[in-house]
Amino acid sequence: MTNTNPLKNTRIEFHILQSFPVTCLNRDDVGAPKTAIVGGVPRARVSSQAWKRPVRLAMQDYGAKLGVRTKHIAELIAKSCLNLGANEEQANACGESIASHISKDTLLFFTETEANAFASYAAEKEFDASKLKDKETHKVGKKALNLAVDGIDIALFGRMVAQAAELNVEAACSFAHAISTHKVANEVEFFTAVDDDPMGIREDSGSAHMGSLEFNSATYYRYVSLDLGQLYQSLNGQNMAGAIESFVKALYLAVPTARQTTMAGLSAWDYAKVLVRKGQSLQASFDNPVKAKGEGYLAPSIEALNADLAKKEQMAGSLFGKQAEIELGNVEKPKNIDDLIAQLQTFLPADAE
Amino acid sequence: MSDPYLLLWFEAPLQSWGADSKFGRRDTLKFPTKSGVLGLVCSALGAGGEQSELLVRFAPLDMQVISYRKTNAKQQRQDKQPLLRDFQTVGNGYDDQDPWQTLLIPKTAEGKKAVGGGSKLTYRYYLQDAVFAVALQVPADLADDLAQALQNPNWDIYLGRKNCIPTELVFQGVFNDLSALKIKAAEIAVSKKLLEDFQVLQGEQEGDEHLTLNDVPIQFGQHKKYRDRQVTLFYSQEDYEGG
Repeated sequence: MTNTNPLKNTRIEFHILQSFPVTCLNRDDVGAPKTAIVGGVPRARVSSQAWKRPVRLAMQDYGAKLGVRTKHIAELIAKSCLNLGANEEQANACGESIASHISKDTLLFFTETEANAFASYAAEKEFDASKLKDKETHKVGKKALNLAVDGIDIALFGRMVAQAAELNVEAACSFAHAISTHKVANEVEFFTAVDDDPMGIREDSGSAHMGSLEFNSATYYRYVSLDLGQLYQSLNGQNMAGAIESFVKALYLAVPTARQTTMAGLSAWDYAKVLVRKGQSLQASFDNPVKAKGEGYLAPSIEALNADLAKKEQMAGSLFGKQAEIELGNVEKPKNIDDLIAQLQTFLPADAE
Repeated sequence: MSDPYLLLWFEAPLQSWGADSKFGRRDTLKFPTKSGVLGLVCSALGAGGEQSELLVRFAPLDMQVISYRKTNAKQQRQDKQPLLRDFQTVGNGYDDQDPWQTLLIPKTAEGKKAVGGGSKLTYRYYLQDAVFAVALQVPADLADDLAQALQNPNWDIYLGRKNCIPTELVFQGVFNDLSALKIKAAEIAVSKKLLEDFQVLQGEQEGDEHLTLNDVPIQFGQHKKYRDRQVTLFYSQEDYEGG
């Protein structure tokens, strides 16, 4: 990587509006939907961590591959050696030898790419463990460690390894708590469950169980930002296009899993304003709660979001640093998620794809 | 020339300014801490790691905070909102057969599997609807660089926790004199229809409440070190009368 980071202090900001019918996407410790008070009125809330996790897990479905951190690197390398045609004895010896060069019974963050790279190195030496030198091993290892190939989620969401600070990775994305644009009061669903009475014992018919659970329905404002400079640094400028694609797709579809079996509240974005910006990150406040006025919350929320962002841009002047603005969910100028991804990818330097 | 002040504006639906939290309960004070503010400054500078040399220059300097209360449509001050307690479980639902996912499950101090799976309950506290003006005194030779960095931060800046993204530009000017800074802060407050709630001044003075905070950072990074600081709170007259 060169010393200059062409994407330093450039971020993609996703300002997303997403409406949900009856749901309980994120529960507190008594099982009620989480709330917050914003602008003096109660709002529905989904915490940042509750939405990050499904996004991270969904990224695997869109081509992002995870790394592993393990003590069993000898076995992993041996397996790769077997794949390259070593016999079992050679594979185990090479695995043991290489593992001893790079780790002393400690956990190592490890990827399949590395295992394969070490196995190829062993193959060059005809799987003769005695010919494997530790300095050469280190060179191979350094060359092979690459979050861009199979650790994209780590580059995006970061990780902290308390015991080994050099293994820490700073997260490239940040999520705000998703908060409803309007006033929301949780509702209580009272329910009964009926005994099927398979033995025909009961004379009376009626419920055998009563319970209650809380839910609400809301149009959420979600703010997510992706720091391209940090991502470039963590990925050594490689596979940026792939990272953006899997991240945006997961961000579009992934929804917290709480109570999905009883309420099945799955909705994708209704509207998104995506900005590519330099300068300080800024989310919309929705401090003034949106009113439905008989026409639902989405339309007035879109209006309020655009008014807020336009005002911020006007007041921040040159500090706003806008490079691009992309709208998803505009009925007159329809665009789909693939258009959005393609347009975002045009901001990457030519060598970063 | 004495060291100038930066006016910083902190406004977001949620903020969190922890001072002495440990383990699963992450508290917040009712106003920004010096460690939190300097953490934000380091983030803007892109200054990672221990930063002892930088921090030691800030340690003796002043920091003052003005807390504001939002008003309702009738220009009356809104009620003070209670702290938000965000409940989170960590480490549940992972597949312990998957080598990567296993690592995400909390372990015992000896690194063994915990009884009953090991998921942890944690509580994070947030301020709701809070707005602050912060007067941060900075070494004179750094003022320009800091102003630049805060307007074009190297790393994202946020209000105490990474998910507390500001809804207003944080940097609002450099002032050689504190009274000019306070005039500017008051102007912003008027334009946003905010009412002063309380002020936090450094040092022990004749005031309404005294606190000792362990929030002056001497070293960040892996092994953080803090020094104590006395602050005095002054409640605005209106609040005083109202109790």
